[in-house]
Amino acid sequence: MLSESSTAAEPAVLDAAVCRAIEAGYRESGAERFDISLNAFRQLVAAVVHRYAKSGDSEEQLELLGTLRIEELVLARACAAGNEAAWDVFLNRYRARLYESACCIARDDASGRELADGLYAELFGLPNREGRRVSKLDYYMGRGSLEGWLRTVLAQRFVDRCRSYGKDVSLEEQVEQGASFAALDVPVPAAPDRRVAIAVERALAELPGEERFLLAAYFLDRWTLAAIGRHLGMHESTVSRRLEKRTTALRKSVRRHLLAAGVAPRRCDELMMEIDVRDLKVDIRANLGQDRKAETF
Amino acid sequence: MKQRNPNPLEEALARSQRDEPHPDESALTAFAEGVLLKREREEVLAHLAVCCACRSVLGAAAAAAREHAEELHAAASVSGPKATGKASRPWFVWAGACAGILVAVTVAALVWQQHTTMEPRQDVATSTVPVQALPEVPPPPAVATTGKGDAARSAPVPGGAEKKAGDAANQSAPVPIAGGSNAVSSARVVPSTNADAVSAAPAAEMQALRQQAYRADSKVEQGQTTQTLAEVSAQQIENATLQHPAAPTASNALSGPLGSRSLAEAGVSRAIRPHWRINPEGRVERAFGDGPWERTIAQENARMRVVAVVGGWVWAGGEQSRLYRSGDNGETWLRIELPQKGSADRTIAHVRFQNAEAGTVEAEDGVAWSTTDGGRTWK
Repeated sequence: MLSESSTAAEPAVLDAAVCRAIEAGYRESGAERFDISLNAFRQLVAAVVHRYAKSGDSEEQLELLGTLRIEELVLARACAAGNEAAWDVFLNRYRARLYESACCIARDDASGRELADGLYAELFGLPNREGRRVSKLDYYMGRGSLEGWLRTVLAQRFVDRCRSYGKDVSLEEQVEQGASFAALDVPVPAAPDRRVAIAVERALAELPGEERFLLAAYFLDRWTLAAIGRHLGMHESTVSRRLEKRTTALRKSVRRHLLAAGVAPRRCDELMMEIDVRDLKVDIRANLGQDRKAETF
Repeated sequence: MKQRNPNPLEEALARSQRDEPHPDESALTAFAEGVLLKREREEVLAHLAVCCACRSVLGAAAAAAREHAEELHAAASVSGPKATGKASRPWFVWAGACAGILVAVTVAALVWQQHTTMEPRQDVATSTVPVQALPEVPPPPAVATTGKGDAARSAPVPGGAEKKAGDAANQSAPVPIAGGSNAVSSARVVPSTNADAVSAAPAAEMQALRQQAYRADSKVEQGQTTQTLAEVSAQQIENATLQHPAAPTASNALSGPLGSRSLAEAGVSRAIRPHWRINPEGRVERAFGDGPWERTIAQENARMRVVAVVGGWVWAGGEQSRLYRSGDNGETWLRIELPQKGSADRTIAHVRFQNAEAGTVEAEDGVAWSTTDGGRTWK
């Protein structure tokens, strides 16, 4: 049975409407089948609400509750608590998909299976320093589907592995991979005018997060328009138009900053001639593997 | 070696990558599935814009999800009716199908209503067609329709009463139609061999009648009869069609005066529709089926440039601002005088109609005239 202490991260002081919604969720979640009491369930959901709806606004809390995958949250926590019935459901529902997703992410059956096995061990639970078994499923918060969360965790593991693999690869392996045949990195000369770099940074800083994500995903990571559109919830043609519009606006913004910095209009035009986002040459490998320190604007 | 040019935008984007707390997997999952709160979404987007690691995680997970979805879709498409059944289809597919059926039924009802509101056609009963001119076809059906019978066709009878009337006509029996004092007491049809034959095999008979109509055209040229045999055949087809509301309707407007309300005007498709073309000499020509091309608008010497069929109307335009309209498949033409806009010597090059009433005629030089009343007035 899920112990109340394992779910009560912090005292839950919630609005009455939120409490009623939580209790209604208890009946729908099927928590009883996994021996989760109403009190434990209330503490579990309240912890999630407290974690993500920090403002304490009951409307936001109710909105959050509406988006929670209560049934899957209960299943995950029951599995983490070692409930056998829950594990049966979990294995029937997610085992095959987990392996499929791992193979998709790793692009290789062996690596994918290894990835999935590693995650399974974590899901089942590894003993911590105190000897208590801690399951990765304890970290699932019901935000999004459990299947999606498992996929994200797999992707996280895979990216971490790739990033660490680059540091550990031997010279022989590098030679096998043809790394020794790669052209030597030529130091990229600095921007012709430091004021351009500052203006670009300021123009970027003015953009909202979504626009910067759009630019970074397209120009740095070379995502397709469709992939960006799926994440932003818009059609790829809309993404294309926004990209076009944003780059145009960005050029104007950079020019405005240059003019504000005292650059003469003619010189400004000359400098702007050297900035064309359509001519970007992005080294994806370098960008994905970067460990650059933050620089102040 | 070609040196790479520095790109300040790229450098600034890359420089903006910062080490800051990453959103947890739950938040990333919720972002990918679009269930984040608005405030959270802004925060996650702002982080994603500067964190290539999280973008990589997101991209990898999304790619796996997409592949999984494609596999599911592929599996569903080959697993037969079970996977493509009711439960697997979204509701809007069915809603769309229902809407489509509803629209089709509504259009059919409107067309039929327009058909039945035409003036009573006594021509069938009073026809003095020289039956001898049609040796291979039995005499035309002697359909005796009373005024009430015609009213039955024109009255809006619920529950598919029109079809009932047609069926009853085939059976030569009174048609009981509920509907108060306006209800039809009877619609008697004298049995006709031709009509019965059409009833039995409407498609085949229609084809034969059409062929007969084509042959009739050539006989008319030989001056064998004063009434075109095409009309006779069209009437026969129409009589047959009255027995079969679903069958294509032949227009009795083939010889009707221009401007009178015809089937074509009512939007009913004709069974016999000619093909149209402008020949190299700039003459408008038509051909029925596989028949020869024949010139129409014989009196016009100006070269024509465009011919267009819009609903039941045929429009032809050409040099010297010539614009003609025919409502009877080119039997007769009405010359339309367009209001002058500068030069009178323009060449009509485009005829575009949204429906039978509203459209635009455009000259070669871009000058256009519009009508909203089927060509009676232009501006």
